[in-house]
Amino acid sequence: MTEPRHDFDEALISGYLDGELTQGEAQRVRLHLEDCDRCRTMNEELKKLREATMTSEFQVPEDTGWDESPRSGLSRWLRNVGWIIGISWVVGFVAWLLWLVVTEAEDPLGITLAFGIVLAAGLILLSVLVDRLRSYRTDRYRRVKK
Amino acid sequence: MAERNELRARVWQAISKLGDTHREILVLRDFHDLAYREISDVLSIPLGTVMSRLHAARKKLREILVAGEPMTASVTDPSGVGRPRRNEP
Repeated sequence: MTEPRHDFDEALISGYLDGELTQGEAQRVRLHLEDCDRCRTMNEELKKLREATMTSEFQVPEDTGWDESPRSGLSRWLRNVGWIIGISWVVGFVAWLLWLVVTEAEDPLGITLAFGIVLAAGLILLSVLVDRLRSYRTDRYRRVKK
Repeated sequence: MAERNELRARVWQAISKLGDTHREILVLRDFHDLAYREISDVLSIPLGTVMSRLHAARKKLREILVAGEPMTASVTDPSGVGRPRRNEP
């Protein structure tokens, strides 16, 4: 057998095996496979390999792992709004408490301690939020449906 | 049964040797059964890239399996492949 016109894009073989080609493309692959030994062999080998991998089972996460995420656009929106309101409330409340401490307390040590604990808690909260935000933005599978 | 388990282990071993990019697209297509369009959306890559990357991943997997004699003959026989779990040896 000859190896005709090998400007042929062999990636089409995978598309052919997966049934992802148009009728025209699939016909083109079929015609090429009739003429080309190398591609025909590759087609057979990849077909068997594909069947081997597809009959295996990939372990999926436990259902509880999926349940932690909101499932619809509305629930996601409500959750985001809830986070914003909650964080705003905490920030406002802490600011108000600090204002009371600064304006009413006469003890410099008390003010220092109050600022210290609030600063520490704030930084820890901020680090958690930054990590959450980063993992959300870099999670390539967040749109994969269960 | 022993042969089947051995084959399953070898297939998984070969998949684990793939690079992240190839393993990722192979898992999405062959294990999660996503269509090319869905993979394109998930990975934010063009449809043509899905096909070429998947093809490259399969060729690489085949190379790894062929290099790992004597499994070469049996690994291309899907009849011996069961339903392995990732954590199995």
